[in-house]
Amino acid sequence: MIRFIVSRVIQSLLVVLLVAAGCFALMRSLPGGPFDAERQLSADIEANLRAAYDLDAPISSQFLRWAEALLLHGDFGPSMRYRDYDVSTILAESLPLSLSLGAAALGFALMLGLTAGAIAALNRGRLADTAVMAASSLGLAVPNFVLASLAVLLFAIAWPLFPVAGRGGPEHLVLPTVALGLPFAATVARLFRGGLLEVLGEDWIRTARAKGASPLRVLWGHAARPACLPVVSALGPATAGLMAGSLVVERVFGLGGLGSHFVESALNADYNLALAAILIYATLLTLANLAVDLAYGLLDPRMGAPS
Amino acid sequence: MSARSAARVSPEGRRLAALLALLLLLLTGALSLGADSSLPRADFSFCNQDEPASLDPALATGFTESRVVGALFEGLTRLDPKSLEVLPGVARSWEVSDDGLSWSFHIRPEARWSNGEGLVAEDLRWSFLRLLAPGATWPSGSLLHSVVGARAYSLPGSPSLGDAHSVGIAAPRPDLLRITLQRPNAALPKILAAPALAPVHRASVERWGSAWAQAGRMVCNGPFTLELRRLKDRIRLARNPLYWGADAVTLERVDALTANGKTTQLNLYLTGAVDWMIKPPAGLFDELEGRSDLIVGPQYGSTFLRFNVRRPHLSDARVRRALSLALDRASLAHHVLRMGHRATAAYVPSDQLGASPPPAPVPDPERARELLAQAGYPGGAGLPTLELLFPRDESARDLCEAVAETWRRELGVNARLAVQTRKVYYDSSAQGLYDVAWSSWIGDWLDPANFLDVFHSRGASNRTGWAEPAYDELLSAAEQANQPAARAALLAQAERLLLRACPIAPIAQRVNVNLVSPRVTGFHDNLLDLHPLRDLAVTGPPP
Amino acid sequence: MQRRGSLFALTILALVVSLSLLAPALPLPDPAAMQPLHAGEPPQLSWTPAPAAELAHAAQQHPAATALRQALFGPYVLKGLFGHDDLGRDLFSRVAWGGRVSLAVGLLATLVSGLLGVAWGVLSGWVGGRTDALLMRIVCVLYAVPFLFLVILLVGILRGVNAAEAPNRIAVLFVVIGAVSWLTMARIVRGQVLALRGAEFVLAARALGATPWQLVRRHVLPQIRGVVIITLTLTVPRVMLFEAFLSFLGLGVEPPGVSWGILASQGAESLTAVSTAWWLVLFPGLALALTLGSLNVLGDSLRDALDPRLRRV
Repeated sequence: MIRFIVSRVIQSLLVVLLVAAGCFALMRSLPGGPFDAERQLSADIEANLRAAYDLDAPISSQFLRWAEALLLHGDFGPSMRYRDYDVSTILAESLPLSLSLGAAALGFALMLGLTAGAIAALNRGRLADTAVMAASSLGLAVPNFVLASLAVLLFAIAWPLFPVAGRGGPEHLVLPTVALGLPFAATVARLFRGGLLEVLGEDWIRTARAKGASPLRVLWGHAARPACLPVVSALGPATAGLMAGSLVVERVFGLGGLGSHFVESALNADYNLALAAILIYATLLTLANLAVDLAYGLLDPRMGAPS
Repeated sequence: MSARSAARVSPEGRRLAALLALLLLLLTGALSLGADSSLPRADFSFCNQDEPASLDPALATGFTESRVVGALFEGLTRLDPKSLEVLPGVARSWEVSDDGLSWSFHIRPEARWSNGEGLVAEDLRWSFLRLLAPGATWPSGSLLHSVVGARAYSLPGSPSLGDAHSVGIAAPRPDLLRITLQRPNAALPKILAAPALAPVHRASVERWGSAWAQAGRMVCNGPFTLELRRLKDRIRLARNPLYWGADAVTLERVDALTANGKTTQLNLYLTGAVDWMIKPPAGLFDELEGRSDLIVGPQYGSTFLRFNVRRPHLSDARVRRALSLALDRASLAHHVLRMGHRATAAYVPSDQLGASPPPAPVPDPERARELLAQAGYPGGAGLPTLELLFPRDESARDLCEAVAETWRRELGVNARLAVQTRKVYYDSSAQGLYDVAWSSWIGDWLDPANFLDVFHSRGASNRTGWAEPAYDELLSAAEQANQPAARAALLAQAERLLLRACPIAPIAQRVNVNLVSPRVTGFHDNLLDLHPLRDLAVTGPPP
Repeated sequence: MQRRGSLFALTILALVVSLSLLAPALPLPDPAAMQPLHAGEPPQLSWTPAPAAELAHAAQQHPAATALRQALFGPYVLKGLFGHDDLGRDLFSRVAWGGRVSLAVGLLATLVSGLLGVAWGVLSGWVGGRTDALLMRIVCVLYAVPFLFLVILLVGILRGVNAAEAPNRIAVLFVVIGAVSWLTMARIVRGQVLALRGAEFVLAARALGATPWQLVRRHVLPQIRGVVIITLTLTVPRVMLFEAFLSFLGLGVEPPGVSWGILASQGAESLTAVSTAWWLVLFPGLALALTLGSLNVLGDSLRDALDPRLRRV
């Protein structure tokens, strides 16, 4: 087990490093540098800028210097878009917001999805089941920016329960959490319902029911654990989905999280900030996948140690 | 069911309740951790269109930065928002020598920094030299290039490189700043009102380096100080009681919000969360038109198309003129650009705020087809598909779609729309990787040279490849002219030459569109879209 | 109940696909033509003749379809069924033509992902051993790469130099989106192939001397056909949503091309307190919801019908 974890961690580090190197080279070879503007800079100013941000050296030595600064001093470098700030300061301001939003969305999605999935499975073929399946199909068929904009229109403008946009107290995060979590809630509901139905049809469950166990007992005592497996295995891609969704949600709700910084830094050619964002996302993804594999192993005794 | 499970909650029910409670805890915990402290509402909030790149005056090149920097810092002079006339700022008065070359500025004795220190002429001298320094990473030094020795100070290889004494900026007394120019320029006081030419606090800059412009570190001299900055959320300004004109400033707290997305900004305005929104989406202009809080006026800026003269099929002026003549500018301005844009065939925009617009130029597709045939492309045959370049901007996209459709319909010329992200668009146009490019230019102050200098053969922002010695000569003659009337005549002549040669096709003069809440007073529409926070006031508490 | 649901889904899909396929032959205005007179108009029907220049342009693009259209309907077009957008473009026409692009992107990208995923999975599962371990390790690694962000970066690469040389952005969109979605297919197919390798009929065929390629073609591929089809059916909605997402960020289909993603994001942008252009959101949203929802329902029914055990994957 320990060997497994260690080997996976090393593997993940290598992946992240590879991704960083690849993106580093890719960004610097793209047209459109960080300092291009409508008013063209004179040649000497442009030369000064390139020297100040270390853009003149060959790419390999730029990468080595960047990696050294990062690994030895934890310094991601200056931001080229926000000239008053270091990337580290920007991350400190934006990362907690994005992580909280993601965690809240995950919690909300699990709460809503597991409950809905259980209701649907226990009422198979009846109205509740059809309603849940229809709602979840719809949740997966409409782009999340449409959902987010509708949420703003309904719950911030027509019926002013929540603020339209911006950062502030917890009420600013409620609509973004719902908008971000709904698509994953739909997936969870479907997967959990499917898993439950499968387990509930098996012989040993029928034996338990025949012995007089209540549906709830059957559900939580026996069925839930194996039925969670598809949900758990979906958590890996879900993390990626939540990250992608956060780009949209942060833009619609004016939240300055890592997602909005990433899109802008990619489009503004702010190399250092974009690389930092990519690194963080890659790390989060590998951690999520690792956690999922471990959880899978714990939940399903038939699997044994994950290979 | 056994009596046990009937009497109290079953273990399974408890486990279920525990799981749901755990998830709820995760949810609320995450929400509270991620949320920021709730701030009390500021007296006045507005949507700044984007997050400023920096609050350092040297980097204040765009509107987004100038709105905030102009509130934090004040230069020697400032502009009156109603008339755009020059008013005293840090300098209470000034005079110029008879030969027009030597300017003396008298610094106010009551001018102070926000930390209580007195502001002296040496501070201004140091700030100006910082702008001009060799190794400077900002373009704003070019504003002072008319000063003696300014260019040579930073030019690599020049004998006076780095020699501060060779530059014609001197501070002989704490309250006197002397600037010596190479050539007389009566517009110097107007130029000095630019936000980039405001003084910066030497000790702070030397202590904190490039990160000096943050809350808690910044020392400034303007009507407001920097209380708080949350990236991509808001910049909060607080009234500066040590400002010399603090009695005239009524706003205690101002928030500059940076919400991306026009829709979000509009929703913030309509729900009363902000009091001022800049440039509402063009598509909603019809719904907004007629509202008393919508303020529309001409801007000192121009929207036009650039032609890449280096491309063989566009090197013939007849082709370019044909493409320009076919455009129905009135329809483009009214139906596509909307928001009160004025169609124009001139490049330099009108600097008259209230004057009635000249009649819109009439398209002449017949003549355009003739010219195209004369140039060897009858009916558009033989002309390769033109690549029409534009950045990711709704207004640019709408205009280019309409222009491409017009050319296809009237001339049989095909255009392929190439949208690029802004940085790539700048790079592509700078490298000449386009046929036709959507362009816009905004003047820093009311002077046609701002626009005409762009197309000098060595102009850095020319990007068309068009070079005409006669044009360059007219521009340098205008620079040397002493009389304003003669200068204006020379510049007008240069513009006529430019329009005849047609490296660009002007389409419309840009507009300022602002949504301003009725509780705001002191907001005046002007050509430069200048709305100093110093002069704004609000009636009544925020909604 | 389920059968009725899937029948309904199939009908919807057939309607949507035929509407999009037949769009050039339908009496619709040009989706890019801006008619200022109708700017911002809510839905109201009209049946008027189209300008000759528009018909000529349509004939140039799709000669056969336009000829058919003119034979059936003459020069008349159906305007305003879904209203007009703020630039005066007919929304129904844009939804129909946008469907062509969105469905094409969805289908082709899914095909790309399907081909890649099946090939990878079959190879990995069939050959087994160290090759399998290596291929699956690569898949594991790729799962961690934030593809979305690479897409955003890559879109910046595509700068057309000259109209003739510029790569067709839509084509690259297919490939890129397909590259994002093949991993799940590879995993699923590999699992199935592993199980099949030990099946009796396979061992028997091998004993009879069949080559690996024959075994794969005759015995493995038909068996996994069901799984592949189900996964493909459920990948199309994800791919189309991804295209909508890219369009929202401004990185999708180039104008004057139109796709459902572009329509949905333009519609979402018009949801403000002043704007009452509900049709700009409703119709593109419905188009997406109905199509993708039907695909989801269809995929679910296929999966239930084929093998409930597959829910586990």
